[in-house]
Amino acid sequence: MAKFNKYKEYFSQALISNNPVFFQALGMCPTLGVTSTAINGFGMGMATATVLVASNFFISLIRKIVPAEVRIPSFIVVIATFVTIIQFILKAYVPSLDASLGLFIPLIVVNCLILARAESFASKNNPIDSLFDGLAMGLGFTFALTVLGAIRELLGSGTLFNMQVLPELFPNTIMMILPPGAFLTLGFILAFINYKRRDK
Amino acid sequence: MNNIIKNASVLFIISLVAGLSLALVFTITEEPIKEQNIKIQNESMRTLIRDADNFKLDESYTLPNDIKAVFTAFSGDSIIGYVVSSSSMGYGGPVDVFTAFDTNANIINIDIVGHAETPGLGALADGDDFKNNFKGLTAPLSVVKGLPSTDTEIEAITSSTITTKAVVDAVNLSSDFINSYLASVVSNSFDSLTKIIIKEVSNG
Repeated sequence: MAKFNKYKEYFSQALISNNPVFFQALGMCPTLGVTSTAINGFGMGMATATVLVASNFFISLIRKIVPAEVRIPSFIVVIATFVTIIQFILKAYVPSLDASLGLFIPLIVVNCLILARAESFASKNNPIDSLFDGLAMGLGFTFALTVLGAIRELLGSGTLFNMQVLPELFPNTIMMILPPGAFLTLGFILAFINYKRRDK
Repeated sequence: MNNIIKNASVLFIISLVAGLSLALVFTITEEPIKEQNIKIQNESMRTLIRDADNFKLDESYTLPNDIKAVFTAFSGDSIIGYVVSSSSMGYGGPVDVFTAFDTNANIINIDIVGHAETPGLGALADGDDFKNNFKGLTAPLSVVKGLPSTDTEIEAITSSTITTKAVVDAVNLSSDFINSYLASVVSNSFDSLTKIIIKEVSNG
């Protein structure tokens, strides 16, 4: 039961109070780059979460045999391997997602969220805890990217998950699905969260 | 000194395991990836020439730069058109275009099969509103801002002239190619036809 509560704590932290995007400001490059639609944000989040679970677990397994001097290159090799495997699998079985995420999948390798969890959590904790930490942080990341993508898609294209939501006559703000829209949306969300947090 | 050897061997073993597992996954997914690519191509070609029931890739012809492939569309045994795959530089990267021609090298329709253009702007080139502009035209085409006044002009997508130019360039390249291709294929088949006739005549 104690274990269960501990993992529950991981999830509630990763989703809300210590969200990797909204609080730790990690992995900004994919966050700003791919969130032009909700489905892209969700897909990128899930791909990152999968890599994060696998790399956290594996890095935790080898944490005792990897000498401190070469730990960063070792972690990067492990992460890059999982990213490439995921890219092969997406290309082979989910080509539509591969087409829309395209360039960003290789960028998971240098997503600082993954290296940050490897360095600050997986290299110090046991494999099972690391696996849950990866899952929690990955879902927190997915949640943030989906919210961002949904807001931008709604205002920029009038759709949500590719379904028309706003009336056709409602003017679409194209800027919202271009890079400035990403910065504006993220900025407003962070401002709102900080405002709420200061109230407490 | 000992430390260096230990560090290097740990890194070596990790890389070795990583390399081996990558090789394994690559072998498993190689075939499905090829099939997916062929499936995407075929689906695109089917929408371009609806009457065709088979597309054959011509591998014997030497292709010029920027032309990636040429397919012959069959309906039963008769040739009803050609699909040329070409590519041209757009705003966000190469724009890959399939252009379908009838047997007289008139454009039947076009499809954008790959691009990295801006969503909401250049990416509109992949919409039917834009692609339908090409139906029935004969290249060479040019890009105009505003309404086209002749049959060889394509209206530029608002704020996306570079993308429009890329698509039109790709179509023009395909058209140049299909003209020389038709000329050579027709003369080739004429050659082999005459050879057969000569053979049959000499055989009595």
